[in-house]
Amino acid sequence: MDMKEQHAQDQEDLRKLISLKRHETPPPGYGDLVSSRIISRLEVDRIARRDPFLWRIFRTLSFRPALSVVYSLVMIALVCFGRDVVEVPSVNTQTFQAGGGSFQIPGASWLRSSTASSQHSMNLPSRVMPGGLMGKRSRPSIQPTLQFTGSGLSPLGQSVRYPLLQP
Amino acid sequence: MEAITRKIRRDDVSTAPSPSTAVSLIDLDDGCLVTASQRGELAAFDELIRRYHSRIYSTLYHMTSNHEDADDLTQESFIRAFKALKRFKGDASFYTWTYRIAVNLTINFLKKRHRRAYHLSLNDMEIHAENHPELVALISNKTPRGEVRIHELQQKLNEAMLQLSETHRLTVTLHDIQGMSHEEISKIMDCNVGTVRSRLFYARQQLQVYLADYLPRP
Repeated sequence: MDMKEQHAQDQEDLRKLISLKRHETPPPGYGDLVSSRIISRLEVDRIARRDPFLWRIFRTLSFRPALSVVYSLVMIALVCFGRDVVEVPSVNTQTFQAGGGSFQIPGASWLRSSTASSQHSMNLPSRVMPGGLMGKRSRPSIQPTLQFTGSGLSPLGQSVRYPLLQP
Repeated sequence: MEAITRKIRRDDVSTAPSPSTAVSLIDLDDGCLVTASQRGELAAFDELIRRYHSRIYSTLYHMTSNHEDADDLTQESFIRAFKALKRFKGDASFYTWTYRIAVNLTINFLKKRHRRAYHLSLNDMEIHAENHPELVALISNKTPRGEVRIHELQQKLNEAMLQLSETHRLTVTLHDIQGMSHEEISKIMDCNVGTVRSRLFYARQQLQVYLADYLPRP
């Protein structure tokens, strides 16, 4: 027997040995159950699709506690991250002296820092409350304004008038 | 065709096939059943499952050597096939198309399973298997372990199969166990016939090494 015949014989023996696996059969009755199981799963899936979107999410999370914990952690992380990124300016009240009186602008703490290098002056009408904007003696008949000159707030170097909201 | 589909529509109001419907569905070819299934008729799809589940289960069992895994994968394959049925264009037969889904699913599953411990869960041998002439000839005093029992042989054979890579195991399964032609295998595995032949050759060489003690002496 030459090498080629020997190789062919080996292959044939191996094929016979492998064909032993053909005689492995699933448990009795298994074949009858498969299709009904698959169809049942498809029906359940079809019914589940009819439910509202939020109810499906709720059900998914109820059946998978680990998933709901993970989602919660992700939401908390997003809220924390968002809070850090979107920094809300502090609402410190800044007091200004003008015209022999003083007035306060809530949330104007940025004014000092952003215009540190610039000259700014505030022109207020002399009629505007010596006691301050929040004073009780008179109500301003003219809308008070803040006027800034300099590079800090006015990039073009022009005077800009910012109307102040009346109380 | 239109008449047939109308008949299915009339009969298959409920998803559970009635005996009279089952008779009519059995006579239909795959194309009609696929068309009906694409409309969402589960009775038609049920008939397709009945036709092909045993062959697909068998392949997946030989790939996994585990009955429970093969069962899960078979169910999952048909469910995915049903969900993707709207995209089925009919380029290949439904059987080949579903086979591809099952095979890809199983290969992905085996890659994941490879990283964790698993056990064999083998099906029983047929009662009359030990009397099969080929097996009688094989389990004889010609082998180095002449006293080998058929269940031991089954165990060793499955262990040897698991030593092969997924693609080589699939090629051997489809050709030597399922008896498919090279052309059919190339369609399922989406490769050319030459690749199938070379994979088969390499896989057999490996199996000969693993099963040397259980093959007849030269």
